[in-house]
Amino acid sequence: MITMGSAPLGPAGEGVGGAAGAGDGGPPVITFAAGLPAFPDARRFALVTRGEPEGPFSLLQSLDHADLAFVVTHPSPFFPDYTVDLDDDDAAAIGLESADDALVLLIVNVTGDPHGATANLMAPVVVNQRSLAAVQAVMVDESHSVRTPLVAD
Amino acid sequence: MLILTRRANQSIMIAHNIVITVLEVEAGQVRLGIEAPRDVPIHREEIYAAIRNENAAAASAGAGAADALDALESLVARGSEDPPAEP
Repeated sequence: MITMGSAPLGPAGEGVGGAAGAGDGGPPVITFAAGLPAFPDARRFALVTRGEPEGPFSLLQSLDHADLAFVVTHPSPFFPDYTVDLDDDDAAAIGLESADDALVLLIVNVTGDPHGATANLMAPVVVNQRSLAAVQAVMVDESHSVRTPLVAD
Repeated sequence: MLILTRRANQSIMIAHNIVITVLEVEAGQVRLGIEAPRDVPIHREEIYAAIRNENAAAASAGAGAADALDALESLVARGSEDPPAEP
């Protein structure tokens, strides 16, 4: 099991793709070899960061289905105590050996009023920043809801 | 649906490399052991369904996602400048 806290980014705040590098200057392309629940065929996503300096939110744009995209966020600004315990099978699936190489992203549900935006803490996306292999992990813990409010009322 | 009857310590093979073994049957619960290749995801059905439904809800059309991001970012920016106007 690999446990990772919600530190904003990897070493030196380098961000995803720092080690693996996008090379061509485009956004890093992460690969979910096992697909995602509800979208098993969507494997490759561009991680599009926005703003300067970079804000907490990014866009996961499917490269397999042009009309599929997710808003994702770094956990730390909203859930500073959030940690991910990645089980050995998931760690092996993305070749992750150290928590330092992991980038944790939460899928945000903001299809309606932004005040009602929620994040999926039960199923975080974990990216190996060296290989850009990714998995949507499952945290079986009653305190981690698939719809955790992002902005406290 | 294929229906098979198994007792404790008996197994079912799926394809050549997935084995599901009944470990224990007690008080209305069944404990199962599952051996499968690491690239075969295994989930409790109700948890998988919750994640599948949430992924489907969170997925938005490309343009819609960008709009949602704009709305979220302005919301967060406002929140950091002054206390929320509404309770």
